[in-house]
Amino acid sequence: MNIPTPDKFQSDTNRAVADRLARLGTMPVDTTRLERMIGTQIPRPATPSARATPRLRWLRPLQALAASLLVTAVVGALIWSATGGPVMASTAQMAQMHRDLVAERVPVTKVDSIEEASRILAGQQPDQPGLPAVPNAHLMACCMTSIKDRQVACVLFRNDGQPVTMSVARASDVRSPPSPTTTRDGVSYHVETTDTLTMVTTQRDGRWICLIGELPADRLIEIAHGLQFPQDE
Amino acid sequence: MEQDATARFYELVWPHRDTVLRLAMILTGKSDQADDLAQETFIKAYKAMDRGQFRPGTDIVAWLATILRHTRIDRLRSGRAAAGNVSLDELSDVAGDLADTGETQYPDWHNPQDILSAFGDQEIIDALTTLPEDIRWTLLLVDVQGMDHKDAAVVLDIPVGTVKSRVHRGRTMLRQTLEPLAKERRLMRGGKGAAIED
Repeated sequence: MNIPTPDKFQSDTNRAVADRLARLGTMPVDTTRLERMIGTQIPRPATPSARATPRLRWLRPLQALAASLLVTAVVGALIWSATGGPVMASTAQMAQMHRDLVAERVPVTKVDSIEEASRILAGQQPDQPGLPAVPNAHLMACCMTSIKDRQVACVLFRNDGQPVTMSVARASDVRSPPSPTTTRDGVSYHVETTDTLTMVTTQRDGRWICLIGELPADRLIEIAHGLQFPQDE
Repeated sequence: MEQDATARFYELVWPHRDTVLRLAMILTGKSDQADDLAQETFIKAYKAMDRGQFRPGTDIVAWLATILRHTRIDRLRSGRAAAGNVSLDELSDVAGDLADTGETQYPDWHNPQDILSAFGDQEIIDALTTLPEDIRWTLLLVDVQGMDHKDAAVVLDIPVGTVKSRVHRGRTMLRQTLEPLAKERRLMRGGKGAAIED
């Protein structure tokens, strides 16, 4: 007969729990989704194997074809970047823009509706992307601005008592900084926060859209999700 | 600088994605939340590298675990963790709040290794997610990740003695959490010392 003491019981069972937990440390995990998310936001630098070498002339025809396609793509990308790929809108930049708008440190036009803002901004910059409607928002002001040399239409509105700036640009002109994303109904929203401001950016209908204000991320995502786009675009 | 940070990120940090995602998975108990948590952790790590806040020679896993923990706390505080299985109260130090786990009677755990091996990984994770956040983190680092008490204390920003007491209490709590399921499956007998006699 072997009666364990309480100390031995504790010691044996705790050891067994520790051993069982240690096995979780080798549990397989599916990193596919994580790799996709990070790969989108932090593109891998080009590997040395992507560079052309003198050995190209000995490559077999299919490899040579693939290599020429790669060269074409690289040249295309260079031309594209020379003519201007999308510029990154940093959180600090957008936060400053929002604060300037709220404090009226930049020239703005007072407006009462999104239609009025659209009309005024179209008059200033005819090829700017149309503004989506923001349901249940009290419009305050609008202006045209730029990030680097890319045109950005801005409207300031109030939601839940807080001023919110919505910036709209062509998706081909502006991109979001690397940041965590949340997906709702298949649409990805990037979320960034500063000391007091939350910034949510997304791409919809060929537009890059940024909402920034002192509201929770969920609220800004809700607003972004409810945006209504002009039917004729 | 950005290019340099990206290269270093993929060289030093990214190889530990399995570890970070596994910790996030065990922490949250849900794969979608784990993906989001791990994603935010890696982005913060990348930004920290870009700002030159990563010192060569740093223990990468401990560094990532620290970022993961802060990210988790931020998410819980901002209400972005939808799991609902952890309250903010549980973020506080629970070492002094735990009920006395000293047992005056002990059920039939005479073969604890076999009993615990009968549980699947997800069942163990589900049991872990019922434990207070501090206890869960300590078991994650010490037992799952195999960190020594000193390194775990640095990640958790607590004294080594607190790590030790949490490990002990956490293991006991986990066993107690699994006990009803073990009885239900007849992995052990009714308890109250009934089968301690071999």
